[in-house]
Amino acid sequence: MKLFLSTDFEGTSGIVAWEQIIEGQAEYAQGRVLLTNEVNAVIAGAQEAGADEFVVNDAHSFMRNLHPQDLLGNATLISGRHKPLYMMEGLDSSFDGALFVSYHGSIGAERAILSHTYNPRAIWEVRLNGEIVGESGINALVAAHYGVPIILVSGDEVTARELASQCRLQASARGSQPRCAEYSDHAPALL
Amino acid sequence: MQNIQTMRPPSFERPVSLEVTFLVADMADMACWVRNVERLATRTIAIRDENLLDLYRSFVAVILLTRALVDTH
Repeated sequence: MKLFLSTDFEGTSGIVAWEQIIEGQAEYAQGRVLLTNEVNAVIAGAQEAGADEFVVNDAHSFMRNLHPQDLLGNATLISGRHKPLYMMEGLDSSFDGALFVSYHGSIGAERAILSHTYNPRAIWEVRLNGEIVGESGINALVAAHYGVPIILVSGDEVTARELASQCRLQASARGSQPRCAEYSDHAPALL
Repeated sequence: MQNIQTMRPPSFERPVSLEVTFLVADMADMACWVRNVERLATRTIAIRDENLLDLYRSFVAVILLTRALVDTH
């Protein structure tokens, strides 16, 4: 079973501040540890379920947050920002499933962690067929093109809810409410 | 994972329309440099396509272009 992982950062368990996810900031090293552990938890779980081939596309900011030697599953890592399919680079029709790991809700979404849509310094809002959409919904366009099901979304609860609403996914979202507002820790929501 | 064989890919009503509202008008100006981008309002553009991959690629081009206005490295 061959799986594609698009990995963001903000929706990682334990991430609560921009300083943890931006290169050069004081807490970035710690954030990297949390992200790597979360990605590996997904890979390990998928391996237990029978997956044996993994492509991980680092999809956050400059897209060099993960180190290939730290990933489980003998995963192929796609690093760097200048990619034609950006957050979905590497996906094609050969994959059995796509996984959105450490994603977050759209800019302005209530109770989303560190919310933004692609570029917080440029984009105010994105609508897909008239409805406000986040990165998960936009990126789902590529999965739809290649006919690949999105089998897992991890991140804040808003992410899963937005994606399910936006593109008629058949599964239902499960997750936990964050204890506070957008700058608190949270449990991952699974689709 | 146990149900992966029964899971279906996401689907969208086509043609799909992506409307992007930027923080400032300069970004919308720049976005219109990309083919198939339509200006809707001072800060808002739209990309419409039947082909979802082409639509996403146009969106990425818009993102990377407008990053040039705000990114410092």
